[in-house]
Amino acid sequence: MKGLDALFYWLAVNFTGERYLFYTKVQGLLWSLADIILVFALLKLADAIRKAAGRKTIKIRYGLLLFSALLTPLLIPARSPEHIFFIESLVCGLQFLILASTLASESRGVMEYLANKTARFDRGPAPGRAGGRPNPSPPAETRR
Amino acid sequence: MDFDVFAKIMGLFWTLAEGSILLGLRRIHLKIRLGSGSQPWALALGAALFITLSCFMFRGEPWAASWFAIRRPVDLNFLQHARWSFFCAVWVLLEGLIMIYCLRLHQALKAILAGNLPAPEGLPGPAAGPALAMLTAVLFLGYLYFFWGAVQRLGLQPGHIHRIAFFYIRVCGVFWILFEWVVALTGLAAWRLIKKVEGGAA
Repeated sequence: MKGLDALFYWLAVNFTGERYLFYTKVQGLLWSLADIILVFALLKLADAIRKAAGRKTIKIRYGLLLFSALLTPLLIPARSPEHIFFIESLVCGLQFLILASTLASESRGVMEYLANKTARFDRGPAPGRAGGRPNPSPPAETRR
Repeated sequence: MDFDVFAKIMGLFWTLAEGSILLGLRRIHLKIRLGSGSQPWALALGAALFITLSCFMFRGEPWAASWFAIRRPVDLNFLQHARWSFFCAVWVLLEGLIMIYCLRLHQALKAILAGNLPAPEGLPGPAAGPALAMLTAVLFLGYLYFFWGAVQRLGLQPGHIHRIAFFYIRVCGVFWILFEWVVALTGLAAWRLIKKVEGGAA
């Protein structure tokens, strides 16, 4: 039996349902934790930019994130791949909704915030700061 | 609702959500680099790809079976798993591209908040996205080719195919975790940057 055929055969015989369930739970917890952190970081980023613009801070989305975080430990007692899939659908579904809605609602504010920062370059360097770029236009870029 | 239908709908939801996030990040990146976030071709291509993927999700197996004249139950079972393996590869690619854009945006944000203009792209450079797409395609097609060969040569049955396909999903999971942690840590770093600039009020 050649190299890869031997690997496939070994997997076919040894990668049992119990092993799959165990590794799925471990991975599910790891990526759910990453998702919670990245959604939290994005919300805090958006909040920081809202505060700089004098707008109200986000509230409901933090609540939804907390709810999804509370659901995550339900992966541990899950008894089947279908059960895990259903929990992940709820948890990741909520988190993706928060991510996509935050991007949609906050991207204009982010771009205005960054535009304000770069507009200062057009007026010349800030007092006390050495140097300054002579050409403030962003460099040209080849589109992908 | 049948679990298979529910799984397909959720699979398409994740694809749509990740695709939307990717296009959103690309829009911000284009705005910073070129002054305009307009991307009509990317939006049209994204919509066309999503419609194609939706058709493939619900009708892919009957079409592939008819196209390749596949009739044996074990081969049809392989096709069903190949469909899910394909979507796992799509999610690896989407999350990898999201990670690339997050890293680029973080670099641009660092430059802007330090009082500089965003430099011409450093790492990951403009070739990173296409390179990731090519690598994902090559690895996925290689996996399918050798897996199919093993099914024919070793006479594997549906239970065996199921186990191998599920191992492949766990391999994809390693990449999902890696990319998501990079994005999470990049997000935290970006928040820290803005907090510092805005005087800790954030």
